[in-house]
Amino acid sequence: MTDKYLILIVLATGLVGYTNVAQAELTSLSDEALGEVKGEGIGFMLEDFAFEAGADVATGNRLDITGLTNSAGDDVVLSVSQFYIAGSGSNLGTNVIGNPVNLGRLLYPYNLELLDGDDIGIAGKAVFEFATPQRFAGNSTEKPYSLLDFNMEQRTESRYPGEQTATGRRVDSVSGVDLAALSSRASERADFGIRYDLMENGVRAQSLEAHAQGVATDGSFLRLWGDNNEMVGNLEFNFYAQDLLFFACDANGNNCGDSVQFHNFVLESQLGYGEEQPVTFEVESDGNFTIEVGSIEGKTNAFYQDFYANGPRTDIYIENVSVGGSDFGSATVSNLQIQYLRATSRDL
Amino acid sequence: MKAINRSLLLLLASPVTGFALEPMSNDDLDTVTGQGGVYLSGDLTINENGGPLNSDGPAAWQSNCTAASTDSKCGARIAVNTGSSSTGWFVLDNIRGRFSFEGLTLKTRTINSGFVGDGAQFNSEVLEVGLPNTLDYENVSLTVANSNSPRPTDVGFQQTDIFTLNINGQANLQGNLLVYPTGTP
Amino acid sequence: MKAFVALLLMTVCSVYSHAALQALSDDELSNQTGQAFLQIDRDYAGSVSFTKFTFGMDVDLSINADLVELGRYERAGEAAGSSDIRINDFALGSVNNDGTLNPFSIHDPFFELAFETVNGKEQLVGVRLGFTEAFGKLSGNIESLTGNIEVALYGQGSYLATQMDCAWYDLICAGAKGLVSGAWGNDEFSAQAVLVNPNNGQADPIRATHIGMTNGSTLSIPSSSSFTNFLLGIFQSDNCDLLSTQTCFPLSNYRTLDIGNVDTGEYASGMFISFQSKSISWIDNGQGTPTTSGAFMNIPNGGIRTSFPEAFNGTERIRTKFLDPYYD
Repeated sequence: MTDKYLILIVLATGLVGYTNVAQAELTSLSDEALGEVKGEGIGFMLEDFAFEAGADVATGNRLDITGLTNSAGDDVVLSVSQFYIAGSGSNLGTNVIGNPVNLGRLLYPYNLELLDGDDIGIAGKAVFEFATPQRFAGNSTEKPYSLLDFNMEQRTESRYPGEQTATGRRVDSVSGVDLAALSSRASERADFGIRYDLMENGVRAQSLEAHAQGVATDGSFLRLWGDNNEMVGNLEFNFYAQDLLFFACDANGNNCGDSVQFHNFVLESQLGYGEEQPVTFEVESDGNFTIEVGSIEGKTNAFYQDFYANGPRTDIYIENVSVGGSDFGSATVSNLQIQYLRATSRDL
Repeated sequence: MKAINRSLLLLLASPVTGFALEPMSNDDLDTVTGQGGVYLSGDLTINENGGPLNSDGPAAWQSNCTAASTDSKCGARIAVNTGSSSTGWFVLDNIRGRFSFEGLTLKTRTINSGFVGDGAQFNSEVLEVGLPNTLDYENVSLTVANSNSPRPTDVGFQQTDIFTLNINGQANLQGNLLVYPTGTP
Repeated sequence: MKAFVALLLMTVCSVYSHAALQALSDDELSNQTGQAFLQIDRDYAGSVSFTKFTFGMDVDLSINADLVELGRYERAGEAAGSSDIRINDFALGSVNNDGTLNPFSIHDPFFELAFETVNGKEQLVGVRLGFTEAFGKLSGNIESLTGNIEVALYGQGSYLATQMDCAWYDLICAGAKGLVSGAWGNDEFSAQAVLVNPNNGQADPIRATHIGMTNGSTLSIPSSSSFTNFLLGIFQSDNCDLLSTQTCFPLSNYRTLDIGNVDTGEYASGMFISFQSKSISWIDNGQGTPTTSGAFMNIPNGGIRTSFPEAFNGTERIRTKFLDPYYD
């Protein structure tokens, strides 16, 4: 992921035309150069924006993901028959062009910036940051600002029935979703969606649709810096959707079934904790890739106290799941902290 | 070198300026109010037909590079080493096809109103990139992969293709990209 | 801004390009392209069809979460405010005494959708996230669980006898206790325990709070003769009681569960969390796992082995944080 970003930078500089082998790394800045880092950035937003691709397959339009197989080795193609980004009221992708949305706000735009690492716990480094529109405090009393209001409980548990007990404050439940923390106003929350067909051995097996309505990613960022000749990063990914809808249709895209609907979906995920817990992406010599969220083994007690109280966490909340008029209630994963994660790809 | 087998044509033209040059009257000049801006059309073709070396180059470079071909000699390749401690390469491979658009505009614009109340407070200049209404793709493809070496011609080359993206036809879009400095200088 | 441009320039400058014309042999041009790491499979079982996305990945992780709760809605016959699945202080992986991590290990995670054609319409009826194989410590205070967790209970007769509380007049019980502590004292007993209703001993896969032996299930000694097992078969668990031995236990007794076989290092297959709008069977290796509507967690048979002492006393929560409130 981080390297994709690097590629974007390379692309942006126009060098791609004659660059065949790129070895790019972020090197440390001298103190002098660091002194020039003053929190200036490039803001951007999309005004009256709408986008639609893959639609109108009948006239030869195509957006296919190929190179996939099933376990028997037969070719499988994910054929996208529509991908769109539009304003609210897109009506599941039927009202896209002519129904635009502002992505980002003039006063709270998307932002590219070179930060002084000293300010964000990455000492002595210049840190490249891509950030989405910022968040407001809302009901939060400290950063990072959350959309979720929690009922906390003081809980006394033992690690063994009848044995030593411990008391601590834990999340008991989510009490509400606080949209006041979003800088994006309702009219600046996009609809987007994808319709795709699954083809197995050249035969269209089924059609699936996923639509997101009222989406905001406020408060997300990707930070990259160089460490030991390696690019490392931290990521905060925030995603709010008023509604997520999933449904299936027959192979011809007709006879669609009921929607599985997630109402008020909130994902807030922080990966990595400054330079103490970097996130890396590497490709091994055997051609497989590894994504790692660094281990926090062997740190000081002071670090652990800070990590468990203020460290990176992930919260996922769905206020209500419903299928065809039946409600299946809320789902919550709260204060999930990653002490270590290493995922390596391998051939199936 | 694989890249040599790939042609890259980048054509940027400004086709709206189809006027003969002639002196303007004073009256006419009065109506000119600084309509700055650039109108761009773009056409980018990568190795659509295999590139010049495919027909004139050494035999080793010649192969069938039709749209259906998956020959690894076809298409551009970008390989990025992922750091000193790793020996593998993240690869965008088999990049080819034709991508074109017409009507991308560039101009500066002062915003001091609108934007649901943000404009007046913003009161500043932006660079406005007017997005073209359509993007045309002609058999554009690229493969996302991981490899143990930068070039497929390296000894012991091994690569894991993750997926290939194929795009053909038209994408529709509208809107402006606004770019401006932020932060406190 | 200047610095930003400098950064871009640095990025650009460190890019170098190789472009040298040289003839290549056909051998050098031959490449070996590995398989993709994502597989998409379609499968069918009766009226239900499945689409499964399997990612070829080995994942090691160590995580803690305050709360994992799925399907919190009012459900007929269940306590108000309860959930299909609710686990507090959830953790995967553990921290060793020497301060090193012992990660939870996952092979080939997958994501699967289930469809059914109802009245001519293609209905999306289920979704699940699973691990083709998993191994490691799963910790948590399980408040309620909807699912299919079968536990193999095992233990020596001599221990079991200490848990038998025979009334003075119950001669059958006293006789059995004599056998269990004497002739069968060194034999390993086993029994299948599943999610159960502690009030009546019936299987209860929905919002269960207890695990144990259902009515009619028996103890056996796998290594012993069929006659011995015939004798044991006479004694059946009834209403969470077998020969005055308690056979149902609160799920919250089990603070840490071993996923996979600790003795052999064998990974457990088929561990998943799913959500479905109706009862459907998910297929793994040709075997169906029936589920109920709502949220569901499956740990396949043999995935958890718990000894009788653990069953009676519970299993101790392992250390899962470097500063662990359970251990301070």
